[in-house]
Amino acid sequence: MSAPGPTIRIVDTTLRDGQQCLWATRMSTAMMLPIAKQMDRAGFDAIELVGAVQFDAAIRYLKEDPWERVRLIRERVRHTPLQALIRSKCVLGFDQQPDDIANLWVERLVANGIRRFVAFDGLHDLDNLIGSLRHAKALGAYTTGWLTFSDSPVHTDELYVRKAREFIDRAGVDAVMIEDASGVLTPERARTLVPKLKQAIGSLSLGLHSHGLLGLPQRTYLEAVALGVDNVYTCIPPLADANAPPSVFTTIQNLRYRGFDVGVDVAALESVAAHFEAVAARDDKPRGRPMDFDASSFGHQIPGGVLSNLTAQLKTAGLAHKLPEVLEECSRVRSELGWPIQVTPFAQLIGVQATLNVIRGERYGVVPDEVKKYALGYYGKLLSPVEPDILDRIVTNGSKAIALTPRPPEPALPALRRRYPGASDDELLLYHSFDSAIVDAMRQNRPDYDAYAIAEKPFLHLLREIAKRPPVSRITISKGDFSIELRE
Amino acid sequence: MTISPHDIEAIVRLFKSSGYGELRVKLGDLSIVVSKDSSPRSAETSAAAGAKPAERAATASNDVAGAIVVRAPVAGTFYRAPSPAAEPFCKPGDRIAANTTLGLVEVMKLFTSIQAGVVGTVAHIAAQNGALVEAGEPLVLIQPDEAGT
Repeated sequence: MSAPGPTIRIVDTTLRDGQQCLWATRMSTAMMLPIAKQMDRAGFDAIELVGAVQFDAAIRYLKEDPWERVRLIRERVRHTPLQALIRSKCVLGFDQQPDDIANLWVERLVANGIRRFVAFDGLHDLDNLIGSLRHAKALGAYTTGWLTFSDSPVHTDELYVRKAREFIDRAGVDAVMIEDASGVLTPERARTLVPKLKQAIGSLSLGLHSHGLLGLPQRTYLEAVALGVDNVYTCIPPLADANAPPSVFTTIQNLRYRGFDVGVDVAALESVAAHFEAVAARDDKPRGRPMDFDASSFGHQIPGGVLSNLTAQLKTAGLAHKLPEVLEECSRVRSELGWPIQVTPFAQLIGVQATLNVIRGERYGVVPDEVKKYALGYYGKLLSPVEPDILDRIVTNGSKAIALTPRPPEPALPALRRRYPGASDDELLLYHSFDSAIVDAMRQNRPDYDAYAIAEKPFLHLLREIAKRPPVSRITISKGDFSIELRE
Repeated sequence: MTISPHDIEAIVRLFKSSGYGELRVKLGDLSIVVSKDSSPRSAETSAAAGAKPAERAATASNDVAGAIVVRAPVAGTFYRAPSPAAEPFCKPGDRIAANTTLGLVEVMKLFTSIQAGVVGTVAHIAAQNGALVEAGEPLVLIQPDEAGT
């Protein structure tokens, strides 16, 4: 058996998932730069840095170049590999991208400093991932196939074993992991799932990434590592717990108590946590905190973000009292649609269709384009078919402009190159996925990367604070041979 | 204490973002003076300029004789084009088929395509691009091809 104190590795996902869950993905590059070097010293197995959502937030809201973020972080993180997330063959939204775009994304991420990729498809249709994963491997990256955990009649241990083998056989992944986005993986389920996966993948690494919203990860992580999981995902407070992954401090403390060897320097992370706490205080950002088990959330499994949107939508329609009906309808719709995972973006399909069904009083009378496309296989092969008479209603009542058979998208690069001659590959990818006006606005902005510098020179800090406040007619400050004066 | 070129860049940037009109910094024999004309904070002006001008409200009356009114099936946001930079799906005078997409109603980031279900001509766009519409609100008026209207 294993030697005393097996080693458990930790993957940090503060900069990718923690901030996505708690800060609406609005963590700027400036917030990351001051502590990047310190995170590199901590001994993480990897630092997960970006997915498409981080690109979207950077371009649209933060008006900063996400490619530059990757480069700047890479300059500071020299030892720990940086990790990126690939979702299906999508960038944003639901639509599948052509192969030339999917491959170029992988190439440019590697060129800018990414050394590891995790890839998932919400339908577990690995046809959507094989190309990207193989391409990443060919470029020398470490690849992990991500199994999205979901509690449903089709998401059985046997399905996950099959998909794990498929990741290995078809994509040659270096590792497999379980991602429990809803935070519903219980220690009890881990007791069957983990050993079966371990047996199926042999000596390959098996990881686990969970979320704290139902208070389960600490116990599930401990159960999982005892059964063969060798790396777990955590975040640094205050970007940990609640609906984010669990706190690195609590996790490591628990692992060490149980006799596992964890090669992370926890003391080195104290200053990182203090920095993020200071950012949270300064910018009034949410802080995660450990949550307790909630039976209804565990029952309906609707993600918090979708739930708050549904509630707001019902309120607008004057139907707030119908929320319990909508929650029940979500379960019904999920079953009828062949059990898509209750994870973004499929959670939205379920939630919106259920809300429309209740608001209209007619089931599947109005069908959003995305629901019809999902049902017709545009996003990938369904694990379980849509109920036939529901499919009929979807096809009849949904947009007639949607062809019954999806066609694979045409390559996009030739047209892009013609349209933007002289643009770099990095720029082309942004122009492909985002409105050019938005990309140009981002490029015109010059972000203040020093905005959160820990050791900012005092007079700059002073000027920064003065600049933030409404002006008075004149300020003069002097000390020794230094003076600063501002006039209206 | 020293001031580096990097610091100077930071000073200018911070000053620009403030509401002040003039800045003077002295350190030993180094003096920096930055001033701007006394116009309102540039942030406000650029925000106004950058905002997409709302489409001019349709002024034609909504009761075109014999027209079919295509209405929002649910409350949501009405969009006239597939994406912000793209051409609108239709404009008055366009010929349409029964399944020509005329617009989108967005509900929680999912988009429902709106189609007339008849062959005809677009008579009038009744709702503004980007507007919140109620269920049943008129979006597009179509003059159908039927005889005897």
